[in-house]
Amino acid sequence: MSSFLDAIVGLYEESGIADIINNFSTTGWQNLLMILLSFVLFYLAIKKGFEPLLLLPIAFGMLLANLPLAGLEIIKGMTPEEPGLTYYLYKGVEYGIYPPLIFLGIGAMTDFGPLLANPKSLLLGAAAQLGIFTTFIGARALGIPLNEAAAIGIIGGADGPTAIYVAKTLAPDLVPVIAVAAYSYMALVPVIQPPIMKLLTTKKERAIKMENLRPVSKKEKIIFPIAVTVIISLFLPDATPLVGMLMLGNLMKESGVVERITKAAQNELMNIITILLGVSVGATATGTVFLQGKTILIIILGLLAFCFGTAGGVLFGKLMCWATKGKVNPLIGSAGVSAVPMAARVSQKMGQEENPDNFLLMHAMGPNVAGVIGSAVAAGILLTLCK
Amino acid sequence: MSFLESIKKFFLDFDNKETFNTTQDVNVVLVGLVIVFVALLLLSFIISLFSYIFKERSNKEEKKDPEKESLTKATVKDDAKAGEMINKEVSQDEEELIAVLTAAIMASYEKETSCKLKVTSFKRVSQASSPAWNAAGRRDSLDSSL
Repeated sequence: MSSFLDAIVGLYEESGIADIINNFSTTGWQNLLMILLSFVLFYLAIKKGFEPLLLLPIAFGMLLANLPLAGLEIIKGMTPEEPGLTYYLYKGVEYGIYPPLIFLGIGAMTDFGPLLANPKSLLLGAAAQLGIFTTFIGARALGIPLNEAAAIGIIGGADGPTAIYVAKTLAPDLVPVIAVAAYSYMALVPVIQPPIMKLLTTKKERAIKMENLRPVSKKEKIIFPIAVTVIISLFLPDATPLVGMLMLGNLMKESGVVERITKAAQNELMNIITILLGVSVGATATGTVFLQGKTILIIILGLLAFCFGTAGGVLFGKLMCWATKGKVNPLIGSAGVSAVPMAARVSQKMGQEENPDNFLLMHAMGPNVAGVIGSAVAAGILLTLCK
Repeated sequence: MSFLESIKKFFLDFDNKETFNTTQDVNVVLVGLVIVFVALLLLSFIISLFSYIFKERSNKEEKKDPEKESLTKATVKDDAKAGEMINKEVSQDEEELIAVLTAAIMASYEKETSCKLKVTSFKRVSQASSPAWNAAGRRDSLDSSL
């Protein structure tokens, strides 16, 4: 009988439950809180449909990393002394492999047609990067070091892969926080943007109808990715990994001669990288890394970055509205933060609320895809100046 | 330690804190914003340039090739509801639109795909003057597909 009890007690002592209880004051509470947080993320991903493709693997990585003892293997796996699965998977983040590959897939899925039809929308994509730089200066004013301030600011680019790419170079410790913040806010675009857009525009401006876009020839669509790659890479070599891969994907799509690899980039490759990126970023979010005061600060600053980016785009949209004597609806400016295509949908919905016959979607897609290029350029600048 | 200080310490536990360095930080922001704008302005200039080049060239091509023009002018007929249609010249861009319209009509017929149809003409209806229920239906289907 006693040997039976011993066995049970032994089993208990080996278990994660005992680990949490015994070390409750040190790591136990952190593990528990992080597990709860991963549950919240599961809820947001599954029930609310917030960027589930990334939030789900991130949340699961987080869960794995914070299950005591079992999680220990994962955390051990993150150290070079005892490399494990996550250690090797995380190399893809550390060496900056995953984000450019994701950009390859995004490029293969993006139609730059609306942008080519209205090249001025590139300026809206530039204006919406305001959030990155205002947040950067705000973070610096709080005394946050240069590299970390830049990594926090890039959340305002509203572009997950770009944010991860910058963070892993400038502030590797902040990668999990920045990734979770960036993807959560991208999912929250329909909640965050409308109040700001309403505040900054008048009813009359929101009701503006825009002229139909001109059709874009195939030649233009093919030359565009090549031209962008050459120009951006000459300007900013640091932006090349992201912009170059984005444009390679787009050239593959638009050229129409490599359908097989285009499909692979859009589907299989993109999906595989998404899984690896999500799990490995999630696995870095251990209690000791995540549960710090600065996590809260970064999440607040990230929100500000988003708001300023939206405001920058809308205000520049107003400027263009004024300059074109009311031909541009300022609502399309907010789509200049990347978050493709949610931000463009928000512009469409807001425009239609004011004027049911308003179709801004394609007009908003221009600044939207320009925002992807804009935030990649901004990332290149931050990488160059804040190393 | 005062309460305020402890709050500050809690949120700002960054390693090796650096104080604000006006020249350096303002520089990053200015250089950053200027380069983002210049780079995208340059791109936008080049795009508008090559759209101009292609427009010029395609105009020339069209002039050179009157036969092709007349081909695309072909008028088309809808077997089912030919009466109310107005004939209209078909340009290159509209071909695509006609294909979409034909497909939409075919799709709405579902089972009767055996019937042959041709779109002879189409008329853009002003959004404002279209019946309220039609407009509501269109909006609904658009919203659900967004």
